[in-house]
This record gives sequence, C-alpha cells and structure tokens, in this order.
Amino acid sequence: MRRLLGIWSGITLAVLFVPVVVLFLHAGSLEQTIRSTAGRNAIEVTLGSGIIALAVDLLFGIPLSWILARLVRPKWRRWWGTLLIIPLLMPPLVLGLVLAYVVGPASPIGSTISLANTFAGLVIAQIYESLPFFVLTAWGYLGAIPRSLEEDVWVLGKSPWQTFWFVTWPMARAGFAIAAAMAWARIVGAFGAPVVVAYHPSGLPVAIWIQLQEQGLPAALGLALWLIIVSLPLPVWLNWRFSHVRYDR
Amino acid sequence: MFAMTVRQRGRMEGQFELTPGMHAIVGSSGAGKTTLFRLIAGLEHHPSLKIRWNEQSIDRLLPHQRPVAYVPQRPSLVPHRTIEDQIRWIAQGSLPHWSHWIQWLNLEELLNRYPHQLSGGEQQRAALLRALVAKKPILLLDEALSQIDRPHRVSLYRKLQETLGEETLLLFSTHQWEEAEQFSEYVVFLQKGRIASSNNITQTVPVDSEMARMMGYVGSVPVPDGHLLIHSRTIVLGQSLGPSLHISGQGYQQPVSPTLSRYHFLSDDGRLLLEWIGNPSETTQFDDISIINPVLVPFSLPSTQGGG
Repeated sequence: MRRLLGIWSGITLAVLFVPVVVLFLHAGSLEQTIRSTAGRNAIEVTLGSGIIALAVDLLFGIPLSWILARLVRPKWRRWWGTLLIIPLLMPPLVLGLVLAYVVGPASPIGSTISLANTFAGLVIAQIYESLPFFVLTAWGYLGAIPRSLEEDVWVLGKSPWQTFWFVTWPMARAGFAIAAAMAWARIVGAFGAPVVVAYHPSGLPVAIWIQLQEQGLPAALGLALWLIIVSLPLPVWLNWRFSHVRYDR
Repeated sequence: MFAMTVRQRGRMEGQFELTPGMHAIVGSSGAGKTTLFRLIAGLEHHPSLKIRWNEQSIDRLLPHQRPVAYVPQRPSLVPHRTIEDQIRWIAQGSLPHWSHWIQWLNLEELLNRYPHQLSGGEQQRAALLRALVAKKPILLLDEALSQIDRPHRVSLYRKLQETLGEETLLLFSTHQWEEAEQFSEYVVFLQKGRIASSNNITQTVPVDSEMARMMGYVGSVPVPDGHLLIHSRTIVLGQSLGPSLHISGQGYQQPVSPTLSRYHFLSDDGRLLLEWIGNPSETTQFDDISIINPVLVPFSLPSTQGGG
C-alpha cells in the first residue's frame, strides 16, 4: 500500500514539475528576451508595478490581518473569514471587468480621470488580485500565535509593549513574510484582471499573451522563463526561511 | 500581609489572609486553584475582587505592574528564544547573580537550547528559574513542579523554603495533601470554587467528606456530638495506648509489597468498617484498633468505597 502511495505521489510530482522542466530546457531564450526592448519593458513594468502593489498590500494588509486575528471577537471571525473569501475567489477576469468599469471612462470616477490602460491601473489590478490572499494567509499565521505566550511573560513583569517585541513580533514576522511571498507570486503572475484593465503598459503575463498571439508559442517561452525568475525566488526563499517555525505546544 | 476577597457566584467565592512564607493551595482538579492564581496574577478579574499586599491595594493593577510572578501549569517558556535569552530578558541583565541557582537546578547545559529541546521536567525547572529572576515578592507556582520526580521536588521545596526572603510570599498549588503538610505553614483549601478554609496546617479540620478524603481520612465513627474522623496514619493495631478511641472488631493485614500492606477492619457483625494502606506489621490478624488524635466533625465519612 505504501509503495502504491509512493508511486502515485511520484507521478503527481512529476506531472506538477513538467512545466518547470520544460521551461528551463529553453533557458537559451533568456538572453534573447532581455535583449529585445519589448522583453525588457515587460520585465521593468512587472517589477516596478509589482513592488508598488506589494507595498500597498503590506500597508493595508498588515493592520487588517492583525485586527482580524487579535481584536475581532471569535464569534465574528467566521463571518469575516467568509466575507473575505468572496474577493479572493472572484475570477480574475470578472475582477478585471469590474475594475475596468469603475476606473475606466464609462464610470463617474473614470470619466474625470481614467485609469484604464495606465500603470496605476495595472497596480490596482494587481492589488485586487493579491490583497485578500495576503490578508487571509497572514490572518491564519497570526491566529496561530497562542495568546498564552504573552500572558506568561506579563505575569513576570514584562509590559505588553516589551512582550510584543520579544515574543510576538518574531512570530508575527514569519506570518507576514509568508503572506508577502504568496502575494508577490499572485501580483507578478496576475493576468485576468490586468488583461482587461491595463492591457498597456504590459507586465510579463500580458506580454506573454501578446507574444503568443503574434509570434506563436516558442517565442513566448523566453518571457515565460523571465516571469518565473521574477516571481519565484522571493516566495521560495521566504518559505524556506520562515515556514519551518511551528509553535505547537 | 496578603489579603484577598472575591465573590463571583459559581466561579470563586471566599476570602483569606496570609503572612509572608510558604503556603499551599489545596484542592482537587477543577476546584479552582488555577482560577485563584490567575485572579491574583491579574489575568482574570471580577469587580468584587479585592487584594491587598502590605497595605496596598493591587487588584486594579495590570499583570505586569503587580508584585506577582506566576508560573502556570502548562509549558510557558517562549518557544523561539533560548533559555538563557529569555531568562536574561526577564532578569534584565544580571544573570551571573543567579549562577548558584542555575547550577543547583542543573540548567547549565541547557541554557543555549530552545524549550522544545528540553524534557518536561527541565522546562519546569527553567520556568521556575525564570520566575525567580523576576524578583517579585509574591511567587505563585501552579503545580509548576509536577513533572519533576518526587525526591527532587522535595529538595526543591526545601531549598525554596531556605532561600526565600523574609518578606516573600510563595503560594504553591497541589492536590497532594502530604506535600502541603510537609512544606506549608498555612493551607488554603479550595472546593468547587469556594475557599473553604485557610488555617494553620496543624489545626486544619476538614469541612466536609471530600476534604476529609483528600486529607487522608479513611472513615469515621459516630459519637454523641458528631463523628470522629479516622486517619490511616493514626490507627494503632491492638490495644489502646492512653487517651485514644478504641474500636472493637476484627482486622486483617494483606501485604501488598515489601513496604506496604492493605488492612481491612470489620465490625463484630462482619460489616467492613475501614480499609486503608499502611506500614507492614507483625500481626496478620488483630481484634481491635485504637485511634490516636481523632478529629470531631459534624459529618460522617463512610468508609467503603466501591468494594473491598
């Protein structure tokens, strides 16, 4: 039985990694892509907009996840959790359509200043695709920090502030780091919303799409490889660094 | 002087006063020992709660402001800091000052390890030291030495007794009456959230059968004024010695181990009156028993508990 499970899992893993392997077999096209202006632009746009989107995610996501994990009464948590699932599970295309409506020329806001097909529009689309993800992930990790850990040092004379820095923050930091890792991957890989709201300037995902349609599959592989390079190292490293910490008692 | 009053119906009711020293909080599981400690430490509160320490009211202070250090029952060390780091943090620097305790508790090898790398007993010793370095005048140990084996626990209590300052109040909770007997001056007895008694331990009289059982009484004998409680350690086989209660019947000894025997005592008409565990003796059968120091109480204590 165990052997059967092992073989089945091995097949699953192999299947999962097929795209990764195929991509790296085309590593040659990496250099080609960076030499083309279109390629360079796409990478710059993705990095630039991505960093801003991640910063906004942190700015709004950290306080919100903290409040949800620590200040909301347990009775209400279920409601909030369910509520946040909605934007999280909204199909990115639908998200893009709605955003395009709100910030585009058709809406009251957009008719004064339309953000459709602008850098700002791209950032907004990326934020919408990633923020619920950040909040839910961070909330999960923060919620797992036992409150008793703090009580146990309050009763030895440590103030809540001292306790926060010595006890709580190192654990919370791990949660925020992993949530940021997940959010980054979502931001950089965002396609459904950007393709509707901000076809230009094109980040890597949209650029891949355009290449695919204009020049066919092999040409798009170089950009795809760059997308992997831009999106994966940070999350992989953050996961490695922080996810082994467990606070089970 | 420590004085506490609380009136939270259904949770914790009663009052007691203690002088500095080492005292026990006794009660069975669920009696409220942890609740009592949490109220003193400030982790729980009730409007009716009043605590005074040395003429100062401390019940409105936040936990970290109180002159109290509390070691809870469950593991309480900070998981992501080494033992040394967190003890040093609580002590606010001067760790060499405590090297004597570190050695005595056998913590030297464990200082740069993390809590999960320590056994249960080691964690409790580290948690104890961490509380000691907080240097608070009131120290609460909530079954905080439960995973340390008995001989070490006994010597630890003795050392605490010796080294604690004259103005320190140490309260330790236990559900073993013998531990309270050995190491405390006064006992606060808790029963289902009621503070049932606070007495000098040499004068403690149980208030009901549950408390009597916990203290080791095995039966009672009716007398005109009430009932006389019989403790397994105050039973003498055979004829009486001076002023003591004398009960006639038939008794048998059944050795359980080289150092322990089970005794049964039946009335003259064959009913099982008493059953207890005690020291081995020469006589396997005996006719009468005598009770020294019987305690008079208003309730009876039936002896048979689910068969012989």
